[in-house]
Amino acid sequence: MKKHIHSTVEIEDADERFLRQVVSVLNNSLSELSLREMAQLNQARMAATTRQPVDMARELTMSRGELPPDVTFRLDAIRAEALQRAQAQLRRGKSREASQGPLGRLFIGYGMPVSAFASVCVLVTALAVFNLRDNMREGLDPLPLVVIEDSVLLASEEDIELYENLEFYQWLAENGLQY
Amino acid sequence: MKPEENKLDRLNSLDKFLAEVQGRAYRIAQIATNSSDDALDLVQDAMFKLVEKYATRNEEEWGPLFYSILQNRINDWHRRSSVRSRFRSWLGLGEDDGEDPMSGVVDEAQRSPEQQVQMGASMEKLQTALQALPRRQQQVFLLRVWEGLDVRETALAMSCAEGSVKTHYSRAIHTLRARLGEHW
Repeated sequence: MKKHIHSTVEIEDADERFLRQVVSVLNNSLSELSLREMAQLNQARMAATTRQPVDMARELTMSRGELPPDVTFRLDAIRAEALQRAQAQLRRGKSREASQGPLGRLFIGYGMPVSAFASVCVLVTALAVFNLRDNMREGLDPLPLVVIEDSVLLASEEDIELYENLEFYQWLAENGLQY
Repeated sequence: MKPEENKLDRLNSLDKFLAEVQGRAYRIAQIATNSSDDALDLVQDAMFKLVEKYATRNEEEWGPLFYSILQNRINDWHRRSSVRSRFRSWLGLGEDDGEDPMSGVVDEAQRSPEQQVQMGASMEKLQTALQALPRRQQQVFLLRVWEGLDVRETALAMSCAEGSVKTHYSRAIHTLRARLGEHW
């Protein structure tokens, strides 16, 4: 056991000597770097550190929870533009609403173009007609129109809210009420 | 302290840090790639990345971060080289056209013949032995022995477990000692 410890220490010493020699050789090789190599390394370092200031200033400012002035300025401009657009849209919407009936107001309000609404209507009608004809040929009862409407609604990518409002208008009509 | 002063202090510290490690980093990259020009490019990339992304980190973290970036660049370089050599072999151009990349490197240090002999007797042997090591062992060895990173920092730089660092390190020492002998 004693011999084993002794040999371990010897190995560690030998390793240390070996490593010291390696480091010494490697360090000497540094002093042997050519002027060109040193110049290029210095140039690379300078390029890296002098290119940085703008980004670093940004990082440091942001790390304190503040935004750099240019970012704040841009955000203000974006916000102002968004408000302007919203106001313009509102004005356009009001003037168009005035020239439309209640149904037209509804579609414009939800941003659905008239052509899209027309397409949906044609599709519902076509499905209803084909369904009726096919079932009559096969001697079956036609599917209720509601099922066909549902399938169109489910297949549509339009906002479901629009159809909910349609139901509301249907309910108003059925009950003889006015909006 | 004003942010501007803080920023300048940071930049000065960063510059000092990079000046301190640049020579060793260059040699490590040179040993890994066997190409002086590529080594310079890799070190420059690592410097840019460190300054750009990690300048605001603690100074103690710069070492492992810098070497982590450098090791990634070296690994990328090896990947690109292996793809290139595969294409060359497919196109029938042979492995790197049989050219030794080091043969194109001009020795501008203007060493005396004696120094060159000395270099030939020590550094060249060491460099050859290091280059013969598996890449991970070579990297761990140089980071631990030369750069002085501890096991944890080396593991961070190499993106591996501390146990792997210990294994690579002891294997590297064993192989190098066997190859170089006690005196070389």
